[in-house]
Amino acid sequence: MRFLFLVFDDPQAAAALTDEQRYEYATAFRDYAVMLRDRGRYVDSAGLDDPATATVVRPGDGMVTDGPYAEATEHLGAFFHVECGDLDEALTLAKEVPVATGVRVEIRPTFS
Amino acid sequence: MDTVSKAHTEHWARLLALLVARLRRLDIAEDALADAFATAVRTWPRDGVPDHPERWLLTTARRKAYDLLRHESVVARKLPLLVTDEVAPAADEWVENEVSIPDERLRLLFTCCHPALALEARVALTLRMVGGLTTGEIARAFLVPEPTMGQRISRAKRKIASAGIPYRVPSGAELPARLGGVLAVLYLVFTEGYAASSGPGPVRADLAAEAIRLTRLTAALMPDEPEVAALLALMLLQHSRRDTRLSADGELVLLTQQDRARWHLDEIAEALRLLTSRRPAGSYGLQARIAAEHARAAEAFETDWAEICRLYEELDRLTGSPVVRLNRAVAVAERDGNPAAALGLLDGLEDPLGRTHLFWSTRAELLHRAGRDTEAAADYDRALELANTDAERRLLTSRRAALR
Repeated sequence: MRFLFLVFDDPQAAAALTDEQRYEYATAFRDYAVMLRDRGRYVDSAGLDDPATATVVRPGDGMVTDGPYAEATEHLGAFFHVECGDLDEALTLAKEVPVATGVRVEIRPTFS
Repeated sequence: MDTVSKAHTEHWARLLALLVARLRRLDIAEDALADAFATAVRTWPRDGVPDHPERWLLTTARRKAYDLLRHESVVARKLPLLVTDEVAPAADEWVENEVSIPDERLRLLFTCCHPALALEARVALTLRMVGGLTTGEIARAFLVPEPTMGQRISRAKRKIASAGIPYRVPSGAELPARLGGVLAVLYLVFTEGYAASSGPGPVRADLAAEAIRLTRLTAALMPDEPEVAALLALMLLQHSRRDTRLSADGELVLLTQQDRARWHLDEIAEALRLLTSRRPAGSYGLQARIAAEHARAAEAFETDWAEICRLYEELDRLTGSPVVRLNRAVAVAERDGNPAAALGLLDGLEDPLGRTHLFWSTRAELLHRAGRDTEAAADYDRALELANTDAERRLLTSRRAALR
């Protein structure tokens, strides 16, 4: 089965990262994705840009607004989509997810 | 006990565990087995008890399970199959081919106690699936409405299937932490039997007895895990004092004032046997050995407080728990015959424990022994504000009244 690892970050801490820290995080992120691929667990992954760049559209009437996340204490910073036998395996992998300012990693089974 | 109830106590968990392993559906297995027992209640008194009740129940449950699965494929509200390590035998073969019925109860227990489930769901699910209690019985034990408990159990079952919680005993590096989680659930069921978190009565021995039964089962299935035997010993020792914890008029009686002649000696003997062969040094092991020191003393004044202090010191180091430190302080005061060193041990505990009545009532007692009754009275007042049950409040009131 497949699981999505949703990596939540602290927006204040994320804004305060130095360039060097961002580079380190990007390297760790890539290494982790390569590890998943080597073990045959990788489906997809991406980092998300700053929540200030978010745009929201309401389904139905199509009304477009600025992102509603300005005061959030955490925001979605990255995701990994992985293929695992069960939740225990997913938990073991998720414990190693690289985090920049990570406050938590949420694990959700996905279906298609 | 009638034959069906006896069969239920003996076979429920084992049959359910096997059905789940084969069907890979917790909900279907549970419904089918409950239905098989309901059929037994109707037919055994009329037709006589079958030669092999366990096999009869399994066959009846299996048939019912296939009915349910057939019906479900019609209404198409299918849940995912549980993840297991082996391929299930072909649908119709397995019961007939089962030479002896394998024991899958540990898998059932570890699945019910998976950390991805909320603690209260783990407790309810363990009592329902492994303990075989009905939803109504569990609801009454935890003082919640039956529909609430029913929802809690259904949600947990759905999550086990949908979230990919495996039907498996964890191995290797995972095992210690997960076993700790299982033992925590069992101990929580036990302590709930003693210290109802709310309500008028502090002792519900049925729930404690059920916890002991489940822990005894776990100990038999995991004979090489010293902490499981230690937890069983700890429960037996605490449970052996059940008849003396309350006075005739319902007041709580402190350990040192209990009538030791009415402690259950057979349970104490079993616990001591479990401990002497192993001398466990984990958290439950040390707690059990402390309880054993109390049980060994024929009279309160014969208690070996020096040994209890040594065990508490080790437990304090191992757990770093403020509650352990509090109990250690009580033991140190008993050993020394004066409260000076004990009061020193309470430094820094107000922050983590200030919201529990135990901290304030313990400090009050130590201050009283130090002759500081004015401060003791203030602490008893704090304790009274925080006490949970009527019996606790009455005990605190009488102790406060005894101050000068």
